[in-house]
Amino acid sequence: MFSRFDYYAPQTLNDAFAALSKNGNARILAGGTDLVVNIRSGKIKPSLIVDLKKIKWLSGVTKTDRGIEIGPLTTMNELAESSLLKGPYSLLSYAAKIMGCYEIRNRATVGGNIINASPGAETLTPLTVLHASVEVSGNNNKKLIPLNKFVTGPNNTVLSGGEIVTKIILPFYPQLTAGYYMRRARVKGMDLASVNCSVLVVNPNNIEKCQVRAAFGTVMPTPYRSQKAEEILSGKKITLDLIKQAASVINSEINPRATSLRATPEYKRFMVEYFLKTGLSKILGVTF
Amino acid sequence: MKIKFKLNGELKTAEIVSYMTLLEVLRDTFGLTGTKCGCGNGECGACTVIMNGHPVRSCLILGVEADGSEIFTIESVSANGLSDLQKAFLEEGAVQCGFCTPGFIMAGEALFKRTQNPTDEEIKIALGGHLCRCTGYDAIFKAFKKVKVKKTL
Ligand SMILES: Cc1cc2nc3c(=O)[nH]c(=O)nc-3n(C[C@H](O)[C@H](O)[C@H](O)COP(=O)(O)OP(=O)(O)OC[C@H]3O[C@@H](n4cnc5c(N)ncnc54)[C@H](O)[C@@H]3O)c2cc1C
Ligand code: FES
Ligand code: FES
Repeated sequence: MFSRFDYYAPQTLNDAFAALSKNGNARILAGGTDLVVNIRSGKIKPSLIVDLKKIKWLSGVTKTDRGIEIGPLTTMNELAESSLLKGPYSLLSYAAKIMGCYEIRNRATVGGNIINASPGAETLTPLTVLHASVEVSGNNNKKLIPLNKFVTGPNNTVLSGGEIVTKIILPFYPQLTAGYYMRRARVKGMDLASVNCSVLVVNPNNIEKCQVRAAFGTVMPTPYRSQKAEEILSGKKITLDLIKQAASVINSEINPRATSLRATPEYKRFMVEYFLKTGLSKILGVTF
Repeated sequence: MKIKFKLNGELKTAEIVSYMTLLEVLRDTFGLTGTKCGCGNGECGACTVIMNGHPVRSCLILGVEADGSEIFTIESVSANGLSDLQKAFLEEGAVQCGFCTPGFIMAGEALFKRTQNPTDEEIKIALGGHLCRCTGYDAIFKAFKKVKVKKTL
């Protein structure tokens, strides 16, 4: 069925690094829902698969003094059910809950999702507005990279062959901070998002301190945030007029590609204002 | 590579190559052909089995990943006669060509293990990724609604 490869499931991270450094054509396996599809199609031809699933501490959600720490091997269903991903973080668990289908969500991991980095990847826009950082571990070094620097393009990240993502870290937020995730797909059933968006409002109860963040998926090669549009919406009472201004700024900055299989650039541009309006009205409990 | 795992309640070992899917191992190595290959790409649900208590798509899992796990296939469901869900499928006419049926049944057996009395919404979530080209889904949905208490797998 496949091109041939060897398989190794290390018990420790050091064993994983040793295997990766010995074999230049090795690939890491998490849930396999992208990797196995890509091997079958011949897109990649690894000679060794290094399965990380026996390294138990790479999965699970915990709260530490750094913030909410998510193991890269945490599955979508585990994210959806996590008691720590409530309040400010609930848009992430919601996105996890509606991606793919139930069986896919039992395997698909959040690490695999951000590393595969498809432009409409479900967890990318929620993690972007939450200012996630990615802990990347190499053989004898470890660095923290902001998610917006980690993802460099469709199916591309800064990760080099021997490196492993070991954590995804979300900062703490003031209590009432809230977010909303939205997606549109071609069919009601299982389909990748044609276009998606996450809105987060930090301090929604305090007009001066209120900060609006919005990230859009599939309108640019990586999740897109407009600094100018967010400034228009932050620190003041939000009105329909401000939303329209912000949407028009975003539309002047983005460049959705015409060759997308799932939605036309016109549709994606149309959705910008709709997503902003819907997200903000859900979060703030007002209609615009 | 040698794998050792529990298959439908019995401890099994096999010598397999590392580039086979779990679906191929179940069908070709163990001869359990009830689990179907509809697409081989995770899209249709025909290959659904229950691994360590969770329904998963066996076409996207390597056979070697089964090592140390516990797996139930459609063959286990009717080991002692038809399950409540299988009976409901027959009563509602939820089977036509039958190719998708093992996948729907395995998703259902797992659902009724999670919750004995699922809401319509929970049924739809459990079946959301399963394709059926014959029945139009309505009969399948009705069969699910008929089953309230699941017999243990
Ligand atoms: C039927 C189907 C439906 C899908 N629907 C959706 C959808 O609705 N939305 C969506 O966003 N995606 C969807 N996907 C895509 C896929 O399920 C997700 O992208 C998933 O999150 C990938 O995670 P995984 O654990 O399966 O990754 P894998 O396939 O195991 O790995 C993906 C990539 O990441 C690398 N990798 C994984 N973990 C690490 C790590 N810790 N360190 C370094 N490298 C690592 C692998 O080497 C590989 O290159 C779907 C896929 C299928 C088959
Ligand atoms: S054969 Fe596995 S999902 Fe279709
Ligand atoms: S009965 Fe034929 S595909 Fe479902």
